[in-house]
Amino acid sequence: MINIDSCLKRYKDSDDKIWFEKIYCHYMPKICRFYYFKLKDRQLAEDLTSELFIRVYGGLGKTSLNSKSFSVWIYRIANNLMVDYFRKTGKAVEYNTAPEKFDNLVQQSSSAESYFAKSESGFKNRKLAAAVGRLTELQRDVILLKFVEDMDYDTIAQVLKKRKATVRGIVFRAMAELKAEIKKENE
Amino acid sequence: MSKKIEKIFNKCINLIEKGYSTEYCLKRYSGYREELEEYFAVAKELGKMEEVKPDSKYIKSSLDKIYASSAEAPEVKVPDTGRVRMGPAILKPVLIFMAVFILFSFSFAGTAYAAQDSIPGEVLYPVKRSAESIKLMVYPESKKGSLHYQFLNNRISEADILLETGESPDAEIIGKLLEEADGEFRQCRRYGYFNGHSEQNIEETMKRVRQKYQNRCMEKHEQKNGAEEEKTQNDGECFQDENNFGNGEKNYIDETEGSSSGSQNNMDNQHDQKKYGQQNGSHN
Repeated sequence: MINIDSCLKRYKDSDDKIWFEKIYCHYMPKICRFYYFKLKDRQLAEDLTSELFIRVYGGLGKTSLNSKSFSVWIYRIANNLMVDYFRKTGKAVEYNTAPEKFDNLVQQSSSAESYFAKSESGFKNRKLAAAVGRLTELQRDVILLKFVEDMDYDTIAQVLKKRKATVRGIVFRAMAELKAEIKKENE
Repeated sequence: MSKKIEKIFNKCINLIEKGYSTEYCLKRYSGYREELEEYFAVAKELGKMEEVKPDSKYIKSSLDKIYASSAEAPEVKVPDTGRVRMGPAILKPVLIFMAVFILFSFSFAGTAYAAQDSIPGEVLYPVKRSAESIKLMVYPESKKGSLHYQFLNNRISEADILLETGESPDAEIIGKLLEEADGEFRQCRRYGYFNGHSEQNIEETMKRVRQKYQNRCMEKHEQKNGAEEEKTQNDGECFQDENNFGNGEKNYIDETEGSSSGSQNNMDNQHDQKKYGQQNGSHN
């Protein structure tokens, strides 16, 4: 298990790229998954991940962050980058994913150099994936950070700039909706 | 029920964040076991979306891209401490309150400035008086003498303007202004603001305005008396023309009206003289 606190400190002290690379290897799959979960577009997820790490590399030497605050920082940049992208292109994300559509997306092949082309990512439970697709954007973000990225409420509240109590309420409502949807599908 | 399960669900999540197992939570809240199990099953399924380790070739190529592009990358906002503040959420209402407060202060200051030359009876006059009261509260003790002197001048000039420009100035308002001027005069003395020369000057101005006020009042009373006498005479002529009908009654009415209006005028004069006497007395 990699110690992010130690990597951050050593990178700041020595400016050695090897510590950045360790941080990159730890966070890159998470960020890529975060984008893929939200965008359902493999190529775009990879492009935005690269763009994010270019920015992180430029700013990392100037910070004195610990692992938790680094996590908050990197996910905030990730969110902002995505918002910027959609503002620039004027596109809207289509979140409402039906089971058959989600299947297509998972099977969709990408470019040869693609990270996702060589790996399988996504929910194996198609019904759950479809139910997640029907949540609101905010509910999806919170569920993603809580149960997929395994963040605590405090960190999620900081990433999304919400109150902790608000995050708690959103998590419970989203879970109740998912539970009800899955129950309905199974009946 | 939904609120209760929400509370228990959040307690369980807190326990899991602290390192307790789901089994421990189910035992602790055994009354809600069935429902909690359903929630935990969904959470477990969500957690199955695992990250896949990228191969070394992909990492190398993307890192090369990052190093090559970092020089042209836009600067990112960097938090300089380890702690990410929750500032915006808390500061937002404070900033809104401050903005509204500043806006109100500026608009009030602007209105107060516009109200500087207002006189009683004008829309902005209450604003002028409110601004004076606020100044009196805010200014330090050492400056209060000059403030009272300014207010004294304001009251005198207001009374003077009303006497000069008003076609039928309300005696009560001017009387009140002069009373207030007396009060301000006493305050100036109390704060030791006057030197001998300025006190004499202001006293003379006050005397002049008060004299003008008395003359104006006298003129008004004379006009009133003249008009009433004229009316009485007209009434008398009218009764005489009606072939002496109700003569006794007429005389009775004339006498009573004359005596009552006369006594009323006397009372008014006495009242006014008493009032001026008081003002002069307090002034002297």
